[in-house]
Amino acid sequence: MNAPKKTLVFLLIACVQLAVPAWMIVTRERTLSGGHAYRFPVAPVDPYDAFRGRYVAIRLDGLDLPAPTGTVMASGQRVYARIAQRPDGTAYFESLSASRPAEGDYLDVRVRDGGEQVHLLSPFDRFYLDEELAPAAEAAYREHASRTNNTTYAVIRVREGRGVIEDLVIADLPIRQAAIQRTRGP
Amino acid sequence: MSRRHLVWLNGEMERWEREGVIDKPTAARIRGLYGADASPASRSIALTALSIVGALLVGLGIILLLARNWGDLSRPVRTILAFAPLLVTQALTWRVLQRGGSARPWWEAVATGWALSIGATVALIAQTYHLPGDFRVFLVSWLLLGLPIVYLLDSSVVFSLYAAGSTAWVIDAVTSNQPPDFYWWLLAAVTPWLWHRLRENSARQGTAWTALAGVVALLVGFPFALAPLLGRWWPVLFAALFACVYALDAVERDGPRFLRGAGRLLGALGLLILSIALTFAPFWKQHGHPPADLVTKGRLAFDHGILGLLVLSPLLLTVRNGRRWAPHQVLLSLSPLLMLLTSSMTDPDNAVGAARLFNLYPLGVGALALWAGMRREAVGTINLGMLFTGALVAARFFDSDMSFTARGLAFVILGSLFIAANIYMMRRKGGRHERT
Repeated sequence: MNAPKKTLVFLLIACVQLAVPAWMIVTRERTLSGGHAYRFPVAPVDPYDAFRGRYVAIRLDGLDLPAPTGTVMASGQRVYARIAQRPDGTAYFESLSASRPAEGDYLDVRVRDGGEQVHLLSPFDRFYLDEELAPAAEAAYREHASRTNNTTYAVIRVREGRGVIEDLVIADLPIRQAAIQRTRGP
Repeated sequence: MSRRHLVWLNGEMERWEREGVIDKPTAARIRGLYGADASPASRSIALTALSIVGALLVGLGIILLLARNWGDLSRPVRTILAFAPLLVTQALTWRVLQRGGSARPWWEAVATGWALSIGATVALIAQTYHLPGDFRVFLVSWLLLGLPIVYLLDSSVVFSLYAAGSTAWVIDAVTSNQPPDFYWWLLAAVTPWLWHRLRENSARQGTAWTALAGVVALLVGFPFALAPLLGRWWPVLFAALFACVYALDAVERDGPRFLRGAGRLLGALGLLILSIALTFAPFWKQHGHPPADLVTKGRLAFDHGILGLLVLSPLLLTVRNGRRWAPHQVLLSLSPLLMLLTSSMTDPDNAVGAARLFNLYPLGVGALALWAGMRREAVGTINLGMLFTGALVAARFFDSDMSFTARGLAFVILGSLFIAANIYMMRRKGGRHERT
């Protein structure tokens, strides 16, 4: 390959390599800026396994739903989960649809275990946090995400089937703030 | 001539040799004329190695420094900084491409940094937006975005990283009970580059390591990729892989062997371990197939073509190079076929018979290798023969399934044959000395 051709090929490659992460950012920024915010309760976790490295392992609650009427879902199948809100303001998955709903907010999710009763794969599984705040955040998270006392929510922005985690809230405080408060003491 | 000019000259001469403008002797004479014969080449290797390590360390250090203060930065700032590694390495690549041949020692370093920066950028964005941790999706994005670097900068290191990444992908897929089919596409995408490099540039320093990296990745990745399909045929698959590696490196070429002999060693050792394992009955109980199974299983394996291709490849090489090969080399290359046939025709209830019969294989390889080695006075071949024979002897000596009498008789007969061969060789050597 001669030098001018090599330069042209390089420019093409560089553009593609920049375009892919840029597209990842653009789609998520659009969701964060223009999407509706929902507070999804986070499923209780094993207190000794919540933190892995520098992120909190999370799983949305309420992932068991009946399959759409007259269909049997297969593992790995794509499905659309309609979102509704309870009187207390928390969100949950109301029903499933095999095709993209025409109205209302929904999330594009995958089936983990299929059949007539479906278990969904959690579309969000981690929330990254600073290393320094991690111990305090972990302690706060364990206290508020146990089976008997779950006041932990993931704030998720939803737009056109795509969701982006905006924050993780512990007892009405963003997790970073909760961790900072804990490190400073009462 | 200044060092800068020497580096330029060496870089250009590599290109001239590649494109057939000058041959090796001419290149050597030119280098000798300008005093560039040995030192710039070795300086070039040192430069390349140091620059790769330096690039890796600097890149990783920057990532760590960013990570320390990451949480304090706003999302827009983090997004911009996420692109920094990629932009910097792309700028460096642009620079080396503009400088052409004189910057050749930097190509591998820049390519390595560029490839790693792609992963860093995608990982930083994933962290900023808390993206789900789908390892395979992340890996595929990285591999596909990094693959063009292998072609553009002709980089062995990036190829090795790509091979390792593809292997990691297929292992993760299979252990997660996901279909591994995409692995074949990943391999196919890099095959043209690898083929071109092995055919055109066998004398280049990085080629042997490139080939070895590819071979090791294949030896790990293939079994995982084919395991769901082939089930109990995996020993034949391993035999075919080892035989291919052996056969490719054993073929005589005008230049250095493509794996510098490492392929023959790897292949022969793998076949040794497999063949000794096949001399034990429990192995055949698990992997033997009654005759009625042959048609169904055989059609399945060959329909998919992969196993058939692997089994036949060393056979084709044998046919092509048969006259120049010693009998033990032919026998090693035929191992997957022999194993396939024996496995297909063995009733698991008759595993003992199959195991006893299969003793002939390592015995045959060992005896033929010893014979060829003694005739040619080739120490390596004699060692191979000793290894096969010795391993078989050790396996049988401690085999409690055989009676003392059977073992004793077998050892006495075998030992007598070796002594007779030794006497024959000594007389032959003595006759040669008398004639001279």
